[in-house]
Amino acid sequence: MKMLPALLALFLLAGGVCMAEIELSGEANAAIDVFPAFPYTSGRFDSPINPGNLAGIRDLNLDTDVTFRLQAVEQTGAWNLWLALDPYRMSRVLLAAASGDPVQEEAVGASLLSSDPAALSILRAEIAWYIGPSLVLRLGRQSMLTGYGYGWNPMDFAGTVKDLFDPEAELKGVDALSLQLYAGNAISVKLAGILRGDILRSDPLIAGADYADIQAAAELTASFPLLELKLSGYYDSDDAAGEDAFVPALGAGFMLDLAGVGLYGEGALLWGGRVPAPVGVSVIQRPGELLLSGLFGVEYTFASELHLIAEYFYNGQGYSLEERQLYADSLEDQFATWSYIPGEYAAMYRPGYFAKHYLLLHLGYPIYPWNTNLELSAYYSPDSGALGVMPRLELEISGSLSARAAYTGLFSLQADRYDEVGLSPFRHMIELGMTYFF
Amino acid sequence: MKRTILILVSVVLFGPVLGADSAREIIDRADEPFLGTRIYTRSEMTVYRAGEARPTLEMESYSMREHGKQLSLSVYLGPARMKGTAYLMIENDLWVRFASTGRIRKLSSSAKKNSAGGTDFSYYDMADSGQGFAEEYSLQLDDENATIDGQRCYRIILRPQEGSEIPYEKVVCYVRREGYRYLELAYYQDGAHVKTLRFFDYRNADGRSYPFRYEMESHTKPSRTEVVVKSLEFDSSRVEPDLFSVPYLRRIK
Repeated sequence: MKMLPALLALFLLAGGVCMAEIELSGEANAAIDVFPAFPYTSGRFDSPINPGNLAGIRDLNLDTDVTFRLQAVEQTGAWNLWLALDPYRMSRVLLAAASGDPVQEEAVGASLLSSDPAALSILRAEIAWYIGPSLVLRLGRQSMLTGYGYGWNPMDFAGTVKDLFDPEAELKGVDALSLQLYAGNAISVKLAGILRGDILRSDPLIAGADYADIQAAAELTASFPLLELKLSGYYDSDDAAGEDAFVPALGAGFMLDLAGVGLYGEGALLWGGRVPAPVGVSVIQRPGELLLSGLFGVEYTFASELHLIAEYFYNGQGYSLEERQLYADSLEDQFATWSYIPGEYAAMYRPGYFAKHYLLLHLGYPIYPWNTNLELSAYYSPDSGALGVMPRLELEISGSLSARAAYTGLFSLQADRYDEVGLSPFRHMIELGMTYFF
Repeated sequence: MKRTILILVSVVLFGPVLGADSAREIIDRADEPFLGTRIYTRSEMTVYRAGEARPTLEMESYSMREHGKQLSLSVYLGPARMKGTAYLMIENDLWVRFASTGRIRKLSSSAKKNSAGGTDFSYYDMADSGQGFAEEYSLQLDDENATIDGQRCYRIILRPQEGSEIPYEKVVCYVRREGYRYLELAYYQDGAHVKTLRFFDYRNADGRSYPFRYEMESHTKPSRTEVVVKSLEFDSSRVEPDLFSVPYLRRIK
């Protein structure tokens, strides 16, 4: 009997795909991750965030994941279902920024405690009703990402926070009812009621949401020739004192095309912090004061087709030197007490969001004779001394298949700054992988 | 003697004007098949790098002009890697929709002069306004008896008008004398001949003679891109102003 829902789902999926109006696309990834460690000792993956190598990192990992996108679009509406079968890769979990989203916090905690964590994530599950050419109503899990930044989007309050090590990755959507109104191409207004909690009932024990879980978001976009402006706002009835990781906030952004150079910026004012900060050893507290974050970026494509993005990010929710030291001490204390790192502490480890100041450089260059794209991303935190370097080479083998080689190198350029690299269980990662698009 | 002087003065004063007029006339006639208010094309693009064919790109393009603004939208239908990727251009504003995430990103106008989807066409080249090739150029008839592949043709030099956003320094244009068909456009940047657009397979479409195959050859790298037009509609009912908007980009699957 338990097989029935699964068979029914399979039937619906297969039936849906066979229907001409529903299209299936996606990509499958397979990769070998190698973690070279110097010196090569039994404690090579030990670090404050991974004491005694609790996460079970090995020298070699085989990672596979698949994203399925089922989509149907017609004149009056659209349906989107995106599913990701993605084992929570230790390397990625420890590299990725924790969003402050409780669901992701659980995932991070579960990953650190479970030996074989894997999950089918629902990235999108939405139906859109195009009420007219200027009005769209969307219900379900949908993208709410906003802003102009490549590596960070401080004015995006509703969405899952981007991973600095893979900013172009698809992000899990937000459960919401949204209404978007367009006045030609000049003005767009989006209003959304957001439900936090497990609305899609992936876990029957915590399914659903209460009235107190309702949040609201609004976004206004105004477009002019060569200039675009955005305002965003977020409302959460329980402020920073509440239990979720969302706070009332206001944001503004712009993108200006100045003689071919793209200049953009974002600013955000938050009534409290979305993530807790250490206030003592093993004492954490969500900041209740006003926090300001901002980003400024430049984007340009040279005649050689070299594409450059450079960004500066001031992270109002980042930790000061004192807070970083307290965090490192807390990890040690928590491990001594519990013999593991609790999820709430693990989720505070947010590479790319850990300190207050960050610089990012991203270069992309197509090498046509080799059917190859070369990318180099690097970030540096002037206040903590953390440096990340990520070159990546992608070979287009066919219209459906590509292969890639990538390296991630993490370096601490300043001693005793308690930066994110010092906490990391590894400093070097080599990825050799392939992607099949369908 | 007075008559000779009068003729010489006339040639000096009005010669260039007469030349420009006839260049305009030639270009206007050559442009005729490309003129339209709402153009839809479905085409296949194959990039040849060092002579080797890359996977064929299948693409739909929509273009029109509204309130004096040039609007164009290109949507990739295949291969799987590119399917759902789309480029929207409204004058100098350029947006890209990435298929893998559905995310839409606005790019600076510097990207316009660069390769669209790895082909030898730039975003600028692909934005067909339906106004012909010589819009925003000043014209000069350079040679009335040039030859291309043994075909007698006019050679006309197009130079961007002052203040235009055209990324080329000049375009040397070859128009076949018989039938006034474009044969070749040679694009120059910084004094160098950077690429050549050639037209083939002129066929009757909607009462006009249109090239159903054309190719852009790069002279800065060993690459050329061949486009085969599979479907072509002028004044197409598929092309509506609503398509040229960021909201429409979100609807693409």
